[in-house]
Amino acid sequence: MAINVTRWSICLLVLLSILPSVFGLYFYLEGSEQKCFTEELPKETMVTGEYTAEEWSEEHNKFILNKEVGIEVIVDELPSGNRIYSQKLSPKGQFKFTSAESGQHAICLFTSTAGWFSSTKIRLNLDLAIRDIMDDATEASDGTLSELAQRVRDLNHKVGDIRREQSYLRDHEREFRDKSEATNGHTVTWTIVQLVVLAITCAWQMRHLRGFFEARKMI
Amino acid sequence: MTRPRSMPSLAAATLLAVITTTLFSWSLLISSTAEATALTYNVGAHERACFYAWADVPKKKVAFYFAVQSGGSFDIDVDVRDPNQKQILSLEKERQGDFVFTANEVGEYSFCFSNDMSTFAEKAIDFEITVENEKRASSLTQAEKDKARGPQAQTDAMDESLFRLTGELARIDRMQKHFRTRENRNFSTVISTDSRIFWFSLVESVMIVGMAMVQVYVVRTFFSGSRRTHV
Repeated sequence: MAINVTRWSICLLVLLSILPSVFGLYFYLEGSEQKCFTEELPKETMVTGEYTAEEWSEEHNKFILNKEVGIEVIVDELPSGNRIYSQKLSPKGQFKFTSAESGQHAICLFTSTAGWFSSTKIRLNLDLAIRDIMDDATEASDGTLSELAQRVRDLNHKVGDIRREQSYLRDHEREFRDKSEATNGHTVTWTIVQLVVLAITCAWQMRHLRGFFEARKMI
Repeated sequence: MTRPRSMPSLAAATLLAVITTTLFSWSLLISSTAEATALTYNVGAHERACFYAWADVPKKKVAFYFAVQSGGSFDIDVDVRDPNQKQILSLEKERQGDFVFTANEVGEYSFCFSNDMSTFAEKAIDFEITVENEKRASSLTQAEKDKARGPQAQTDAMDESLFRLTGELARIDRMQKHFRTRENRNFSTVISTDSRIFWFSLVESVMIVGMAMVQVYVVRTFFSGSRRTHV
């Protein structure tokens, strides 16, 4: 009985040791590998990212939080390539940036401490929120946020996401309609150009052949 | 090794999606909190990108949504595995999918996207992985019930309407994502149409001019070389 208990507790300990510190989506970075995510952002929108980076340690045989590890976050505006955010941060924390223009942005994360031939494996938990989460922190600071209030707040965020998506869709649809109409105009333009080319070629052909036959005294 | 895309697998995938969406809406009837992360990732040509989620307690519901937003023919290979590397889901050349499965094992679940079919096209995948913690309403502690304040009936009514709101908003969100994906494809089609109109007109003009010149040349050779026989 005692042996069973100790065996189960050992199993539990082993299991707990490999647990990530935060649950949520995570991925692995090998060495100086970079992982980039794209987001379509309206202009002047604050984006907050929460992350936790754990490094694989051979001696402990699990992922641990190593204070030496640095995570670098880079945000680029995709069409223009402008870098709007670049920071070297501690392995666990938060980063915030505000988009200047509306459009596609690339958010890239990688370890800044690994060298070219380094073989460190990093487990990175990431949560991106397209809103300012300062409001959440101040609301929950006194810890008495009831479950219902929490759910209402989540619903509010969801509604905000839906509104943002709608306005993106509206702008994109306008672009789409302009492109459609331009294409429609192009069918007419290029057909007319083709007809003109055809007419000129015809005229040239006739003139050339007439000149040819007149020279041979056949006409 | 690639399996040819067959009608039965498409029908099975659609049936699975229908079943899982109904299951998903059922699951919203019980009080639940969820951790969801939505990201958009560019999968390069011949790249395999994997993302992981951790299930700490068995019998958690994991919802996985993905849609190809741009690139090539808007399709991607998907591979979802449980902690024992057993395949939960394997899809080839799928445009989008919305699946819910129960995480029976404790451990790391992997969600992999593979872009082997593209020679150079990079695909933007929009995906969302949600791990739901189901908390039955009756398991709320006495302290939490006291915190609710006010008559219990009022709280229950608010609870109920919040559930419905959450469900409806989730449906609106899914519908929007669906529209966004389709709109991206339409945009890509229009750009392709525009480019085709231009290039085909150019090629036709060049061919008209070329053929006119060939005709003139042929007529000239008819009348210059064989003057002896014809004239």
